[in-house]
Amino acid sequence: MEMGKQVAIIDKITVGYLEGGVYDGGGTKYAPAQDAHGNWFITEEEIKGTTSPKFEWVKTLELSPYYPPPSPPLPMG
Amino acid sequence: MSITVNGAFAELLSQLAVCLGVPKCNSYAQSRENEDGSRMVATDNGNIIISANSSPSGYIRKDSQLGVEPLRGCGTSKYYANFVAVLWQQGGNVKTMEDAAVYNFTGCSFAPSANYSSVDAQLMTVGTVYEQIIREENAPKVIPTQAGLAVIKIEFTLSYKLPDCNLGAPSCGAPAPSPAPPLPAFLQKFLDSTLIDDPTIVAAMAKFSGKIVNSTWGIKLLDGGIFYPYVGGTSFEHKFNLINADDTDAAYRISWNGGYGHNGFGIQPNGVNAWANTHYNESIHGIAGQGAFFLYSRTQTGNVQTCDMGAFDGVRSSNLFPRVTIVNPDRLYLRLQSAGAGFVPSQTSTIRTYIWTRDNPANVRALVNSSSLLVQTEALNGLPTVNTYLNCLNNNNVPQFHSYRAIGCQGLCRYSLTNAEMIDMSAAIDELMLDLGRNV
Repeated sequence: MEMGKQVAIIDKITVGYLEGGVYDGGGTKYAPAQDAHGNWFITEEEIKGTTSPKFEWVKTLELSPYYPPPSPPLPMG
Repeated sequence: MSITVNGAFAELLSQLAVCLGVPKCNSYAQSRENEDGSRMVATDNGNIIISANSSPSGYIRKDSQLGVEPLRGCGTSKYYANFVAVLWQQGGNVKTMEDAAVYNFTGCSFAPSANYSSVDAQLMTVGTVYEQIIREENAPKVIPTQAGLAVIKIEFTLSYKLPDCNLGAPSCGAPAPSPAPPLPAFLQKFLDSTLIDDPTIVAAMAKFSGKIVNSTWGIKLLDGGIFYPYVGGTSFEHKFNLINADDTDAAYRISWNGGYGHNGFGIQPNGVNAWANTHYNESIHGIAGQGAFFLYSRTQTGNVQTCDMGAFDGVRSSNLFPRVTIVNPDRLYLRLQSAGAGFVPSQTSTIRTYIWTRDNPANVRALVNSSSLLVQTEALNGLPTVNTYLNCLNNNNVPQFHSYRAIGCQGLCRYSLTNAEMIDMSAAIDELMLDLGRNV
């Protein structure tokens, strides 16, 4: 993971609203995820990439630093 | 009626013609026969795109290119033209169709046809998506591009006729054209689906597609394989499979999720939550004991546990971790229908072409960084039963190990590749990346 990533923290209701929503002309869907503190977020790239009028409001979300969760162990089969 | 393009629109056309490589000679026009029998001509002053010798409804394929061959000669027939202009103007209003409705054929002394019908003026705003404004033949129509993009394509039809003149005369062009070969059907379909008509991209893809149809690795790829060239610069254009560009999951169209950047260099996943579903499931679409995965990475990384593509169903795995710490640092970790520790030679570079293949129950072979051939005993353990994801590992339907490596292209083949095929394919991919200006 690159350093300095920015994300927007969102609540659980917003997660349900955004999850699976298409945000651009190529059919890209939001993929809300949880950070190291268990907070749900969407990423800066999803916000910047949003062209769907339905989700224009995400551009007003405040960005904050991303705290990545620990990486799971590599699957060894 | 006189046909003249003037003002800013003429300037636009001139720029477009230059972009398309139309020479600005003063002695003859150039033309190309299109697949549908239409013809496109670049005049002496190099700023006109014209075609069709059959009917007013003659249609120029959008991948047609200008000036690739000299004009065979002039005739007296009436020619009809289908004119395509692409405006890249950002902001404000584009010129009206009236501005585009007149053009002065100066180069080859083309005489304007009386059959030209004036087009209706339509003031178009850049960034607005238009449906076809007028549906009659020969009428101007605006082809919508993607919503939100400041690109508008305008199509309209005009006609002209060539004057009587002799073959080879200075005003008529050089003799003996040979028709340009048609594009392979799969590439034409890809261009039609993506709406890509950038001449640099079309030329690069045509060159690469020629290598596909003329190579043994390419023939294998064409049978149910996947090649995502990531050309065009948007998520829409990047989702299509060159081999089968239907806009369906069955054609392995990409479904994007999370945060991506898309640009002229390919895709840039964010390494946080970006992942993509190919809809390719090896247990359904693959062949046990065969197959090959490949990609072109543009990013050098340290030891990070990230995966560029793969599937793991809890037992069987096909994937690539280009540089991770497994017992020792700097391990290349890739598998194909495998289990266990994977394929783990030391590796510090994570850029350029990776191809890995299985061709028997015992071995996986790889070509990495466009140069190193590797082979390792890696027992066949069966076909993963989950879909292959990109820019992460599909760990039993959970995307994990998200990668932030920029990818220039990637895909997979249902069949195994020989070492010679991997070398040849790697060279072709490297050349495609070079032609697209995204090589590293």
